[in-house]
Amino acid sequence: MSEGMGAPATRPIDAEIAKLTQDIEAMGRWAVEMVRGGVQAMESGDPAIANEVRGRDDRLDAFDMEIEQEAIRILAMRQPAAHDVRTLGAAIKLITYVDRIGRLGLDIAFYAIDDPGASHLPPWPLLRTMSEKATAMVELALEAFVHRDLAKASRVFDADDEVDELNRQVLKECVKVLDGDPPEPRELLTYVLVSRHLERVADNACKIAEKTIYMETGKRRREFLTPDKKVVL
Amino acid sequence: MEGSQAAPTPAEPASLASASSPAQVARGKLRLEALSAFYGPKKAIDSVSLDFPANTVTAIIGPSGCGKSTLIRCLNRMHEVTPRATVTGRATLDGEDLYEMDATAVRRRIGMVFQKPNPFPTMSVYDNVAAGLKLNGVRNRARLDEAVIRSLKGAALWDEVKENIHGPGVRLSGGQQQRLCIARALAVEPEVLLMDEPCSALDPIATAKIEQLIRTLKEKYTVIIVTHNMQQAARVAELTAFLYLGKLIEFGPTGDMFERPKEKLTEEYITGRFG
Repeated sequence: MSEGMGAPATRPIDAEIAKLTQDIEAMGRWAVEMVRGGVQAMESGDPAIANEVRGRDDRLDAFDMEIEQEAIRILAMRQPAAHDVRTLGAAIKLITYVDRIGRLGLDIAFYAIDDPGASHLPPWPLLRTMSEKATAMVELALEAFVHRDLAKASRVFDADDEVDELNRQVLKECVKVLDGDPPEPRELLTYVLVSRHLERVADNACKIAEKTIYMETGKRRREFLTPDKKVVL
Repeated sequence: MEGSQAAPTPAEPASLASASSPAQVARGKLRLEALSAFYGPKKAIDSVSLDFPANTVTAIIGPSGCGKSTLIRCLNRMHEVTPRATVTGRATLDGEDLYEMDATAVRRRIGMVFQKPNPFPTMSVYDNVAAGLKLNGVRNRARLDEAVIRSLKGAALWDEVKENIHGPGVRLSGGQQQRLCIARALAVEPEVLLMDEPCSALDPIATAKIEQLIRTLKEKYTVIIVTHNMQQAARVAELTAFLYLGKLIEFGPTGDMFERPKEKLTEEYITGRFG
């Protein structure tokens, strides 16, 4: 027997994947700040905050391209298998979800520019709570990815139900206010859109968690997620 | 079955019963049941049970010395040629015990291609291909011509050698020589083709041609390939078996094996974590 199970071999791919993971985490934080910034811009009516979010878009694009390019380079050079190839596959999908999260924040910032100071109507506190929960979900999903933590990834799906419920409440509240023929119907429509965007942010957090579970276990969504969105591993 | 040891109780061979496609769930063309192989007292293969389905390419992977070559040499009874080598357990071809058949008949039905191209040095391309048939008593010129042309075409070599078929086989390039050896193996119309690292001495272009050929060959033959090159296994084989220290560690569809291996040892081997 010329080879065997000795000390773990030092593999260049380990350092490359570690760097890629750090970059994805940084991109994720960048995107979360875009969502928080968009909601803050709506709440404060401060165009400077909205413009700061707009200014983040180019870097978000650059993250997307650089990480994708590096993942493809590693695939081509190292010809990975098993956990390595699942990590790279997950990474390429993850940056799409993170990019979408950032762009949803960007859209919210544009609504803030169109409707400055639109946060005074009754459903607004629900949107603020939604924003807090959705961004916390993204952070939890990213943490799960970085630390390969299946328990954290599973918790992301639990939080999604709360965001879905808040979305329904916002719609109900907006309809209630609209029934009273308010002077600001356009602002309420903006609320509906923002609510929908935040719900999508939470959905993308779930997609990040889903790919993290795939990366760690090789299981696809249909193999670990029950119809009522419970993770069974 | 040769060997002094009592044959162990045959285990149920690793088959495709757990594979994803029901169409793949079939009894193997070649079936190993608790097959062990020894060099004197040293056990090189340890109770391997495995089904090789018909018209499928199965790759056998594993580190050097894990028993890959020994295993396939048991399949066409080449192992027993080594002094003090013995085999226990059962190996069947379409249900017939290989070790109860005549060894020459086994080798006609189960052909083999080796690591380094080994055309007969003094023979022409034509004679290399016809050699096996002549050994089996075929003398009819028309029949030999037909077999040589069919085999060279089957090995994707005909177009490259048809103008100089009576030239020496050793004048061909390394890749062509390996395809000549494949043609030689095909000439006797085997049912199974064993390939022991057939591309390890070839450049990437010659390797690509052999790999393309392997994908074509499975339409007519059951192909079993030993390879060190895991990307090659991924490119050519539908099924992969991973051997370690003579034991079968994992067997299944190649895609699953490389994307989500079930066994930690497999994961560590295919991701290069062995020290």
